Amino acid sequence: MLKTQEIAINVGPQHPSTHGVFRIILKLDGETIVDAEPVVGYLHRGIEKLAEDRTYTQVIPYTDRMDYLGAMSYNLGYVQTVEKLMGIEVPERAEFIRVIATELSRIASHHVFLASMSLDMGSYTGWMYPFRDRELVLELLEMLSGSRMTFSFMRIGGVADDLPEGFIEKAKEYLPKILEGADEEEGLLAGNEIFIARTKGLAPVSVEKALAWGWGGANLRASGFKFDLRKNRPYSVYDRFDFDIPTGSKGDCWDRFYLRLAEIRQSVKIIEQALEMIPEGPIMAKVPKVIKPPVGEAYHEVEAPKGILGYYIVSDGSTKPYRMHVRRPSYINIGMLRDLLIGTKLADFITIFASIDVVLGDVDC
Amino acid sequence: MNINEVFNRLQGKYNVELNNEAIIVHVEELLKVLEEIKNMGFELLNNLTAVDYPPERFEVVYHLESFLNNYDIITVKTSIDRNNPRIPSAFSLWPSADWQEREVYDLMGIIFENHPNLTRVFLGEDFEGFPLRKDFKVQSNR
Repeated sequence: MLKTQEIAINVGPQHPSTHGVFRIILKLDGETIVDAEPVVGYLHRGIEKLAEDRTYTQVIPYTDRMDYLGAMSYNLGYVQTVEKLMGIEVPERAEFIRVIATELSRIASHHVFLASMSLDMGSYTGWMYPFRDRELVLELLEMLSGSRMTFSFMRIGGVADDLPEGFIEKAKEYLPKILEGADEEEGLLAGNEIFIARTKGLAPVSVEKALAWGWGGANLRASGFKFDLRKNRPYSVYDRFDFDIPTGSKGDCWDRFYLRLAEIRQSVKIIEQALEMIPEGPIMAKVPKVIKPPVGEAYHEVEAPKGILGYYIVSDGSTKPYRMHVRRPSYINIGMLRDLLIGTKLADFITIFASIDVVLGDVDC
Repeated sequence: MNINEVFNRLQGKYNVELNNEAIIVHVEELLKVLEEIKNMGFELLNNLTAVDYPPERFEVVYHLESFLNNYDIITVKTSIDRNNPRIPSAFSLWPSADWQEREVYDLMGIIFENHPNLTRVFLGEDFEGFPLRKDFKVQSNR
């Protein structure tokens, strides 16, 4: 018998497939991964510490910079936590604008996921189509907030601005295009034999395992468990809309991929309804000029594109948070990576890593 | 299940109190209480973090949840000595404690006993100090 030797190879940190700056040391026995050590922290900015030195309003722009691909959910989670601390009622119109903005942002995030996963697997065309459609979404978000990725759009008690003139018409023009685009992407990727062969059955995760490692959101639903905070514990005005929660069955890379494609269609459905139902009225609650939550603490979770996002804020009664901790879905998702990789082949590593949908700005915070 | 029901089941068995919507536990009984709550059907340790209250204590905060049963979020807190911050690791109950405890160790300097791989996550091994402690001074431009 030939004697084999374990070798360690280094991946990253500077490589397009690492979704930011991520490094992993893989120990290989032939082609099989026997151990993996993820190394993160290249993008760590210390947002939690910075927040302790900023007023509550000044923290909002920092929340954009965690998951910069789906930043609206991060805005929403933060302002809702502060509102929970202070007991602020947000006007209806503001809640509808929040839902529209958050769902647009979710679509943009899923587009990047579809694009980067196909690019990681060597399909350049598969990258182009979602990015073409994402441009439409970003155009709408730019109309709304003036920014394409780091919005800082929400305020404690409402939103920064009302829907601009012509927004509803433009959204109604673009949403069908996004749906058409999703069909095209489905044909291009989900209909591709090589893509199917490389993702089906790869790195399956059972519901028990996903829950044990704290996975939530789309990664959990891919395993076949139907749980979505927007339905199960509705926040904002999500209980008013009629939409489905797509689920997978095996929790393999294919399910995790296909689920996001299905979620784009559901988000479009929510936005269409919100545009029809949006009431007239103010967009800001009556909020004191100086935000000073009473002594106490709050923990609040929202459904972000990459999983469940939680904010934990402790207030000492001053104008700055005493402590802010963010439960970032990407950080939790990446925790299982070592466990997921052991026993798989080196060639599958990039596919598995792409399928769990992390962004390193969110991992490092 | 809500926090009062959980508390009623724990009361008497353990030295616990209910304060501000949170169950306060002594660190010696922490793992037993967490296991008991887990057995009530809380399969998720969704959030784990710590708060610094100088000069005497750290407060370690656990947010436990159940998606399977859709229970309320339960907050469990315990205080530890700031001069000797040691606490048992919850990794044996929930694997998700692995990276969350490493983050707390890295930034707050709390040692989780029996953790499989308690090393720094974000900061380099040669970094001195723990940035999220209140006495860690940052260079600020404001």
